[in-house]
Amino acid sequence: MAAIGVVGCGQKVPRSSDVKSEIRIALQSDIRGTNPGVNRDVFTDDVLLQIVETLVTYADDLSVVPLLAERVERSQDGTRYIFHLRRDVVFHNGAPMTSREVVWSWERMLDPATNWVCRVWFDGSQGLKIESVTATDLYTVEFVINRPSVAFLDLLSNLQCSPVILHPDSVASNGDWIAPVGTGPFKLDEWMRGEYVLLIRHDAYRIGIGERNGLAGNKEPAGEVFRGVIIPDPSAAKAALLSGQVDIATRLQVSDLVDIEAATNLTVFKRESLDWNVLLMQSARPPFDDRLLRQAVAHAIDFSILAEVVSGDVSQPNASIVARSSSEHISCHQDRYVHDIEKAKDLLSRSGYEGEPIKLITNKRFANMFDNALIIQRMLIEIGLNVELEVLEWTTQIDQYYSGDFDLMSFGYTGRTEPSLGYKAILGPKSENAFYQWDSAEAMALLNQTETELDPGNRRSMFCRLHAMMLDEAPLINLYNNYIIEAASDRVIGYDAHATQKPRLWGVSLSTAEGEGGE
Amino acid sequence: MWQYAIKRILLTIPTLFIASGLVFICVRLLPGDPALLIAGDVQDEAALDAVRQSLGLDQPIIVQYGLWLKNMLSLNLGISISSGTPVVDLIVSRFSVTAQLVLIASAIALVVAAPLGLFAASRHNTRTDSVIMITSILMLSIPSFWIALLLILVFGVELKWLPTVGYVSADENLLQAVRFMIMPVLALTFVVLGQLTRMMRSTSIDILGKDYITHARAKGLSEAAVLRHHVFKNAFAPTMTLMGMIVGSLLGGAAVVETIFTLPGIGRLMVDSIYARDYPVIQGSVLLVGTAYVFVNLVVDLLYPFLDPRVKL
Repeated sequence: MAAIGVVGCGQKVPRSSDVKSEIRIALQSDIRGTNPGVNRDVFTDDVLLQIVETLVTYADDLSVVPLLAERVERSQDGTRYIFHLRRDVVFHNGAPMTSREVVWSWERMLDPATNWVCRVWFDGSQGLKIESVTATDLYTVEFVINRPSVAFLDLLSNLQCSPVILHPDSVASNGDWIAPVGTGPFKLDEWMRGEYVLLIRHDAYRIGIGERNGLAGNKEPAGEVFRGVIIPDPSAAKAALLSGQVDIATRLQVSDLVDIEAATNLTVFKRESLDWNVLLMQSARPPFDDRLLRQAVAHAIDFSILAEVVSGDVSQPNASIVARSSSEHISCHQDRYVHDIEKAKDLLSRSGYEGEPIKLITNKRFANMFDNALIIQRMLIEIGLNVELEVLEWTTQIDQYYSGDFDLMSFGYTGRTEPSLGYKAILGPKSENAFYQWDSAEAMALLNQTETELDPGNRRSMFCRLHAMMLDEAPLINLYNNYIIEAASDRVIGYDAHATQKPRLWGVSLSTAEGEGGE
Repeated sequence: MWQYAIKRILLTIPTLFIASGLVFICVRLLPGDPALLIAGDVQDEAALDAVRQSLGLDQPIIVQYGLWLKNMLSLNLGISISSGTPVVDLIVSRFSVTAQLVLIASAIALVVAAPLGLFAASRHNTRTDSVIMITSILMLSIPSFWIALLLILVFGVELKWLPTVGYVSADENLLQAVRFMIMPVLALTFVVLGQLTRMMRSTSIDILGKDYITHARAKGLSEAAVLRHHVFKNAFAPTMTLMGMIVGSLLGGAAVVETIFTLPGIGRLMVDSIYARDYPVIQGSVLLVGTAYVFVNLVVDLLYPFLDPRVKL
């Protein structure tokens, strides 16, 4: 069996002995609920990540490493995974974590009555099926799956699905959800809807193996109390940060950079995220069923200028599905379209486009999507395309995305750490699901091969071929990975941004001198 | 008068019934699917169908409407799609925050606007009148969000005197509750103040031209007594009517101020619910705001005879 171990690189976590205060973090939206992976959105996931944990998770380089497991073994044929659990982990209610709770958690998630959003990934409806989850002893759990899946561990780490290990006390005897009794470094103390979420330190938390490394390793809770203050308005969030009413603000915008970088009492964190910005083109109907037209669009866009302007010089162009921060982003993924106006004009003249108006759909909820649309519109007009912007409310835009009812759309995908999951988000028959962007039998066949290819080198070559095929067909245009801008007061110790864009509150504290302050 | 009040209350029932029915239809005509907001980034039709089923959105619209109607008649406004909590609990807690904000702001505005408008009228066509008028128009013209941001910038960010976001209930800590409410109340007061001052001034000017005012002056009454006893009472009644309409509309329309200051009020709840396509909460909120609007205006109407004895209900 091949062992998957812990990667021991990352940051040192400050000790908790010097802190004793409440740390405030601005939340852009209230959480939807406390039931992980059931009633969720990205903001809910951000908070629950502090409370609950998975068997495996992502390291700094986005590889999958153990978290609640001590180590993981995979059988030669890739259909059996054995998780050796850490023996020191305790739930928030003081009960030790054993294989019983792991099996119970997975049985609950796979039960249709739970309404876990990712059940379809594991019930065979998409091919992969968990045949059984059994406890072979008190600290060993065996997963048997119906076919080899290289992405299996990644799916078990997924941040949208939150396949977390809970104590059965989380639900009532009739199965109704009560509250998360997890193993995370923080416990949910209070949730005032529309106002704040209060997290308190899990005093019995046992730190993981190695130093802090992505979402794994040393997750010692340094701060005692975190208050997530819900501030939906970006200007108000910035004002709260500048006035010292909150200590940490995440998901800030490029337009905030000038003010927050000018503030002497703030530390600003900037990096690229896994999320990727795209220009979608509806290839199932005219005019974008014409490959020449799609290629003309691709060559009309100046990716460097676009990424620089919209991301405030945080992001670099990336035409690949594979995020630049991923260890899977090897040299072949750096291939992209060359900005060439003359070539774009030539392709356009050879296409069947006759000057008909084209709507480019965008929204104002996400500044990056709007800014991308605005700049791309100008670039496309320059080569002679008659492009008009249509600004929709975000929920309406998602509806149009799912129904495939658009010509051009400025859109963004939530980051996928595993390349095959990224391709799965876009690749598929449009006749089955209108939200698929790339309908190619050849590419689908290659993607299916990557799922069972256990040799990492061969697998990488396959993704290189997929990338080259995508550039040639231009079913959509990947622009760049989204930017992360976060800021923390200089009295905050130990905070840093992560590529998953998830706030990591463990290891974060206030300096002693100002620890008793705060509004 | 009581007969009038009962008649008005009974008339409220069909009004609200029709309004909520319209809202039910309108929110479902909106493009957008709440299931996409929960499971959208998982990108799987089966997962989306499961979410729709769990939310009861897989039922035909007419079945959903029938169920909603049945529940509404038993005062059950349903369960929030976003949070899974009963809508009644959500809107009652949120409404109390908005009521505090709006009532305090309106009361302050009324206390300032009534004498200010009267004073401006008494100095009609003088420099004082012009200053008060221009100030009122400025207050009216500047949007509340801009005033709110300016207040945050000055008193929150620069001077650091007041908290910029958040809410503390008076039960929890009265002093903190006051501190957190000062800026939101001020932002809202500014807008209301301009409207009320203008109304009070124009009705006072109108009344100052009446014969009975000339008669009162001829009797030798001082100008202060004329303004206090004859002008104020008559001019105040229309101002109260306007006040009722303002309070009624603000109870559902203070969303901008609530969002900027992060107050957990009903306006913000409605906006969030619209973004989340949380149908039960949108319907429940509209119903509550509509009821409040009707109720506030009923109270104003019932107060009318006390302000103006010529009016009989």
